[in-house]
Amino acid sequence: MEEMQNMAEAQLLETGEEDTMQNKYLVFLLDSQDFAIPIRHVVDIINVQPITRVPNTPEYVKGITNLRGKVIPIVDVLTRFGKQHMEYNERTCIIVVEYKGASVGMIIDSVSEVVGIDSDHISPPPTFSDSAEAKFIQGIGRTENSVRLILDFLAVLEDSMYMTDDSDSEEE
Amino acid sequence: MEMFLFEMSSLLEQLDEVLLTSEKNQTLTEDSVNEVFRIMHTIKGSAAMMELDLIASVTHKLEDSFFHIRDNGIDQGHFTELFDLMLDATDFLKGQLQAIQDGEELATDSDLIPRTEAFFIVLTGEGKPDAPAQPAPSVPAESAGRAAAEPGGDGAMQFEIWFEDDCGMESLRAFILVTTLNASCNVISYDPPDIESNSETSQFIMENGFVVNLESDLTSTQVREIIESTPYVKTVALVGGEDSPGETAAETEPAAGDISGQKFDVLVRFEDDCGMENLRAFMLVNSLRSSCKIASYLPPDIENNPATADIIKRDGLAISLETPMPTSELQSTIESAMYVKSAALTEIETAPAKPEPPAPTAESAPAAVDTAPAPDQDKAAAVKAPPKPAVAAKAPIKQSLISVSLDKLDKLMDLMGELVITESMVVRSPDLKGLTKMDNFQKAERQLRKLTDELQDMVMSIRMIPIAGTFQKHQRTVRDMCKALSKECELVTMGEETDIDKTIIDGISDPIMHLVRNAMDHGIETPDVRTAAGKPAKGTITLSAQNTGGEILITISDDGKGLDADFLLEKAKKNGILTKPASEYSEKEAFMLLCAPGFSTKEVVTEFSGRGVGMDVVKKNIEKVGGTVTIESKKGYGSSVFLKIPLTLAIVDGMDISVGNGNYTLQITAINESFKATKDQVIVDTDGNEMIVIRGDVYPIVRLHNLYGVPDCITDIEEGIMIWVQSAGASAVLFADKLIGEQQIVVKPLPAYLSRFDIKPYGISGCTILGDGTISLILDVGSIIDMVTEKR
Repeated sequence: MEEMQNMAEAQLLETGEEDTMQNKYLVFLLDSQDFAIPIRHVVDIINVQPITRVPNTPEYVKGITNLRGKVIPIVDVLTRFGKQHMEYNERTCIIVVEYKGASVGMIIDSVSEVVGIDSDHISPPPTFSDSAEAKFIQGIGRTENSVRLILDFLAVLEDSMYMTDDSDSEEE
Repeated sequence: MEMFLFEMSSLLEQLDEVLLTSEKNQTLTEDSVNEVFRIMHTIKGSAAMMELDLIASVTHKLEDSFFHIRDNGIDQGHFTELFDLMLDATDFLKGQLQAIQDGEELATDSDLIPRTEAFFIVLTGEGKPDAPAQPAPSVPAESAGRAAAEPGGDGAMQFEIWFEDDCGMESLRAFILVTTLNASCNVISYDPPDIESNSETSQFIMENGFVVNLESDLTSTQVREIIESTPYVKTVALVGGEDSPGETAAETEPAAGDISGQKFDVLVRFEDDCGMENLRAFMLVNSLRSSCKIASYLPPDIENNPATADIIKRDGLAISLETPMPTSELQSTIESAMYVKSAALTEIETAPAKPEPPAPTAESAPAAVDTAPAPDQDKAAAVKAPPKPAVAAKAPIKQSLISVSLDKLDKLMDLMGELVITESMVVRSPDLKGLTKMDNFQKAERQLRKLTDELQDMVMSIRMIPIAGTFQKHQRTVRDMCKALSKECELVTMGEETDIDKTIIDGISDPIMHLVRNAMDHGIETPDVRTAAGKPAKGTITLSAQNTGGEILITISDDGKGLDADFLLEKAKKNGILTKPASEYSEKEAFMLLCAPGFSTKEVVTEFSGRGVGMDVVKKNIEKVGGTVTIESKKGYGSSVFLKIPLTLAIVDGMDISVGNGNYTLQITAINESFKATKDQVIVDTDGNEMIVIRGDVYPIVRLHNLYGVPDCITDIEEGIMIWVQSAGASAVLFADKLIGEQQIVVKPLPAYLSRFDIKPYGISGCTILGDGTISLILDVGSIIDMVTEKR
């Protein structure tokens, strides 16, 4: 687990250049399914650490945590999908993504690897799916031997129930 | 541009201060005249560089007047006029700066120019007859002024210039000529004076010629050459003085009137990365002109040859000058100029009274300068550099300051916070448990603690600025309002040296302004009313600041008519903002009605206050920086407004409490006391709301675990702890599991992402990172009380 995470992070570092990051995806496991997220949005991968719950927030907002002195909000992706997240274990990870100039952490089961997926190997998500998580899937990416669901992390973080004219009024 | 605006506004504030002090004392000391002169000169220079012509010309005129005052003094009788003129001028300049800031159109003309000119005439008309002959005053009308012109003394000359008959646009030619001359001479005045703005002067110049009064180290022949080399100049005549071709600069210098004294060679080095060294050098030379006589400088063509920038960068700027100032004052004058890194002074012809290290190059001035970048001169500067306190007392106090963006300071503060947290993470690391032989560790730990404490104090102090600047502004407000309202009043300030966090100063500046205006407008009575009431005709408004430990207490009090509680209540009743019968209001509560939205006692709206947005805005602004407002008053004897403001926003004293497995932090200042309650103290009303009686008053109990839906916590009122809190006059009792302890906390805002969930009204104002790395939520007592009272 540690190694895998280190590997992913090492690859993160190597792929510093914008164009080489273009088609790279971070693959992670969530509820026994492989998901992927464009790596250029990923800032950090950390282990689960103590999270302080903030009152009056929806259940999927787990609270805030201290990431090296920065206070970042944590969202549980599975809870966001409407499923109950099981107990966090030592494999559970937080993927920190950049969202509107700030960092937001997303809890997932574990990270697996970084893969390249060509844009022509990505197909739109099936529209007939009525599963709760369908609206969070941006597309389906195929590699040689497997299929990854590409997570629309913006849809995960943004919630129509709480979206007031969000664009400018981030503060207050 | 930003730099320019910053510099300007600080100069103007300085100017205001000087003027107001002088006006109050009804004297103009030599120091203040020089100070005003210097400020005007700097503004003029900078404005000209930024191509703000109007500002430049207004300040130029004022500078002329002060030049005259400096040399000839001023009659007491002209003081009022002078100060009105000067204060109007600063207002005008401030207005222009504001316009620049807001990107608005700038004024193109101002009545200040003719006013100053008129004043100048008055001044020079009454100048002492035996004063050193002053070159022609700029009399706009007729040649009468010209005849009076008596060039003489310190290299002053008057030239009459005729342009070629068909050149056209004489005024423009004349202006170009003046600009050209300004580069090498000090142009004192010229006639007609308004060539920049008035094209009709062309005709005048065509018929009567153009007269320039100037002062220069160059011989009249040299100046003549410069003038003649200007395009379209037909003839040049030196008026009054004799052409003295043989005369050298060195020879004329000893004859100089007011500017004479010690000769110096100065090697100035600029900051490595300042850029545009030639311009900096030019500005420095220009500013030195006001107090010294510049003989020469190297490289000489700084104003028009950008390549000199590199030379200056490499070799420094060498100036040879003559000045009455003592060495140390000259040194500090030069070093206080922008971007100057060091100045090496070499005295020539050492005066016997001043024992200075022997000048390494005691030859004649220009020759020594030629060998400019002598390293030993640099060393000499290093030795001389420490300011000499003995002389410093006389010199205007100038601090060596740099301006840093607040962002960087915030960042520094953040880092400091991290460091404090990390320190306790290391020192209290669980890995250390069980270790016994830790002598070295503990020693190092103590050392670390000491250093971080010191560092923290230092970082905090950087953000602190004295409140003097904020107070000073109000001298002006009071003065103006006195005149406008025909009242007599004096503003007394106390504790101006109190340091307050910059962010807070910005937040309280407007409220204080408002309170001073209120005191002036509503508080202080007119002189006859005051005398009738047996009070001195002159009222007093006192502005004071004091540090009371964790807080700053700012008091604005007046000895005016005071507040009338009954009147306030009646008025509030009329406005329908009473929440209970008038008879139940205490006097203090009645006063606080002033701060209620939509309350204004003044029947007549005046220019200065009473626009209906009154005290409620003050209260809101103060609360925004975490402060509180209280009012005290005695009818007939005046009233006081107290602003209690936390010292800094970023680090506060907090009390950690726990509820369930979560941590919360309360600001210490919000806590009245904490205690254990017994069941029989608790009263339950019909809706199931719990209340408790403390010293005869009933307060609502807020169970934090209910409020925030925290599981697994103490619910038995006898087992947990009660915390009696208050905010802005309202009180409540919070119920938590237990108190953890008091500590300094670094306040951090909640992540922006969470703001959409509407947390603030829920009483969470921010968070802080505790020593063990976990996060504690900071409770805002005010909004908790609001929320609870609303709900019930």
